[in-house]
Amino acid sequence: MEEDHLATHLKDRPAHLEEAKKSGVKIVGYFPGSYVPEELIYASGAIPLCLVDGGSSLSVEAASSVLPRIACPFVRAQAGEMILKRNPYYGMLDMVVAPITCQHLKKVAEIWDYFGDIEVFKLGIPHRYDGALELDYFITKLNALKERLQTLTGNEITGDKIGGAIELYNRMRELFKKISLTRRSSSPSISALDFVRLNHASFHADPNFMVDVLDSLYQKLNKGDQGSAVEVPRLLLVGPNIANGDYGILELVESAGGEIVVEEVCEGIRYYWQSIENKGDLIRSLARGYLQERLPCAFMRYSSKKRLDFALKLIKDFNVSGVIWYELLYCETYDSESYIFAQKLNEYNIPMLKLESEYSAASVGQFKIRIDAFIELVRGGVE
Amino acid sequence: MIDFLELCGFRSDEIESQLPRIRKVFSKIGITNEDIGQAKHRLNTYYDMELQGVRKMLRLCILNLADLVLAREEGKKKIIYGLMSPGSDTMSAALMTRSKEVYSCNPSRNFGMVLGNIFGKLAPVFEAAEKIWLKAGAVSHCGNVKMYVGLLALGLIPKPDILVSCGFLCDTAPKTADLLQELLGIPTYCYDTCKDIETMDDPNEKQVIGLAVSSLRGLAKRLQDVVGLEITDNMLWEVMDAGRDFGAASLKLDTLIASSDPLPIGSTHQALFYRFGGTSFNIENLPGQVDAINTLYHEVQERVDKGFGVVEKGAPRIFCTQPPSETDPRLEHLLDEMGIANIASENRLFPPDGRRSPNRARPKDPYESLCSNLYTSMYQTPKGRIPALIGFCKQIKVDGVLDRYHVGCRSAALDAMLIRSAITKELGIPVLLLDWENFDPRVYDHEQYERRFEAFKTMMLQRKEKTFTKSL
Repeated sequence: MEEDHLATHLKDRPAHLEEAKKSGVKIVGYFPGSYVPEELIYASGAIPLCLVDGGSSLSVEAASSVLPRIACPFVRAQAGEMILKRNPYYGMLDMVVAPITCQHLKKVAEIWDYFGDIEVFKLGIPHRYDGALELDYFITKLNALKERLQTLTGNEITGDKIGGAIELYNRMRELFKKISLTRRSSSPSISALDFVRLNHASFHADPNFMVDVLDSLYQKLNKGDQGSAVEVPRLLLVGPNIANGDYGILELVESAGGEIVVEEVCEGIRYYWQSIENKGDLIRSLARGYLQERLPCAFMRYSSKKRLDFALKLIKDFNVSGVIWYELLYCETYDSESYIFAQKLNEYNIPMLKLESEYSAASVGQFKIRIDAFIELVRGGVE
Repeated sequence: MIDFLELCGFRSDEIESQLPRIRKVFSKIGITNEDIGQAKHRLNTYYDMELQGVRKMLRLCILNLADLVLAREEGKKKIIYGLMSPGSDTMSAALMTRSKEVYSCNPSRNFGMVLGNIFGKLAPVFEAAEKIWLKAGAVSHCGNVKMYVGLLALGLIPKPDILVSCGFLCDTAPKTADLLQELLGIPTYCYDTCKDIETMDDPNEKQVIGLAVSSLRGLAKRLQDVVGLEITDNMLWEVMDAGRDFGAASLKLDTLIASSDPLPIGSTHQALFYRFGGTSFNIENLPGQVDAINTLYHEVQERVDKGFGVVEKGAPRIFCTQPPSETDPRLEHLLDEMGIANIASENRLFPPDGRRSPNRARPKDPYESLCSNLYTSMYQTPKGRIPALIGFCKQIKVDGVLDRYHVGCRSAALDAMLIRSAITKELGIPVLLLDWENFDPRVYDHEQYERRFEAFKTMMLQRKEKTFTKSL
């Protein structure tokens, strides 16, 4: 039932947003990676929309006139959508907040900015994320974003409004966490594909509606029959990005008889492991939560060990027996880091399969063979 | 060996004293007699070996490589490497002025000049890196970081006490440092800032520089802890002052070449005179470096006075984006051979005024001065970089632009298409895009480049002819 409601909501969402826009509500897009606090956008009265679509070779090819081959396919897809003007979400934006994260995503922000069709607010993300100076820098930037949003919308962003937004998004994060944790069971009631789709839905849907959907779903999953436990290879998915539409890997794993039970993906999966503290200086709270209290992505400085330790904890908590490393072609930091993961996981006797995608249909056959073989390998270990 | 050293500008009296060192170094890095024969051939092919200035530069490159390879054996107690870390070299140089036990350099520069440009023998270094985590292929990891990993993996350079990287331009150097620390136990420090502004004229520039300055001060503290010596502001100014003569001499030579027609010296030498200074951070070596540049300047001036050119007068003149190849003279040599005057590159180009005099006013804080690279064109967004390239092309009056984008540098390379469309639109001159690796000579594809340069030259000549006809 929740799925039907959500599908209808998402189908009608572009039209609802257009209506809202006509009545003067601003639509603010942002690039994924969980570095842009949606709370600020929401508190301004604007509607946040994550620009997270990808997985199609059409938008990648469309970007060939503005980006050379060495940009990652997700970034090329974002430039491609700008050129194609076919996606309603990308065409209705009043402003884009671009977190300055990896060199690839930074460049797409610069390209959107260069063509000048839409205002791009560059949100500096200090890559040495753990210091006091860097936190202060990020706070300054969040305050600048707050100012800019106030000017854009004409609404004052009060402490109460930020507090309300934090409460709403904390609720969403908590529900995602609870739903994710149900997958620790020996027979998870929600597949990785559905969980990832829920994440993507949450980037486009009305957040209040989404919270209701997640709440109902969690109640259902929590009460529901878990079914009999079946010994299937339980897998962790690690990678830089799962775009809305980039579901090939998830489908192939499922059809090969594997089960991705948890994901550690920087872009495309909402970071739900921690809540934002909703008291005191709320801008500082947002800065700490979004910059320092979360797991850093691979492009952040000195992140490898922290990320590896987190993955090992997920492997233990979710009883994982294999890791699928899914990276996008030309992503140099994740590619480097895959080596240290493979080395260390090998010490724990956890096999890892590394796949690189360029959103090309041509690679599906090769992926299928490799995934099938990997599932068999892990299954051998399980049995 | 002796005739090789003579060719590279070693004086006969020093050959006797340096020979054992250099033999030891060559043995360590796998240079054979056959390689030396090959190197002599390469030198005579790619460089104007009759020019004393060139030989002086080559001599310094070889001596500096020996200092690096033998650093531990020759008593250096603290070794600091820089990896894509502009500004940190000044701190290292300051420490070297205070203690003979400190040694610092950018190893890829030393090996790039000698094992790359002179010997053409870098492939095993890249292969060593690719056997570990910086794999070959489409992912296009930067050749510069591959050199560090390869050199350390092969044991060609001593393990440092600290490796310094920086995130001003890229993520790949800091990530490589991160993995070197985790996997090889090499202590590292990464200083950083946040590139979230349009251009360095942005009102928020101060915040970006402020973060960089704080981060650099953190580096100074860390280096002090590692070495056990204080780095004072005066020490930094002393190093920067000492470097002014070198900067001024380089600028003078650069300007002379860019303003001459015909091109008086092969463009292979651009990489040599841009880069040889960076093979040593020791300010005691600066007078020798300045002498080499000045010697070359006088020799080039003599050629200009005589009307001598390596390409015909009136040949199409081009500007190249990004710096010249760090390890391989063949691309530049091919341009010379094909009669294309490659007069300048993007090396140290400052928006909006082009090349910048080292004698300009400086900030009061030396750490702000160390951030000067943040103001160069390659560190800017397309909104800052493209007008700078267009302005400089106008200033030096070129007929075409070779945008050889270094694929390992996502930050600079990803602007390639925007640069081409903007320059073509604004200046109406042809822009040739070349997928390029600035450090890895294995990418060189003579046939492909030759065909593309032929077409490029034809386009430039046709345009020149049209412009000339119109003016009649």
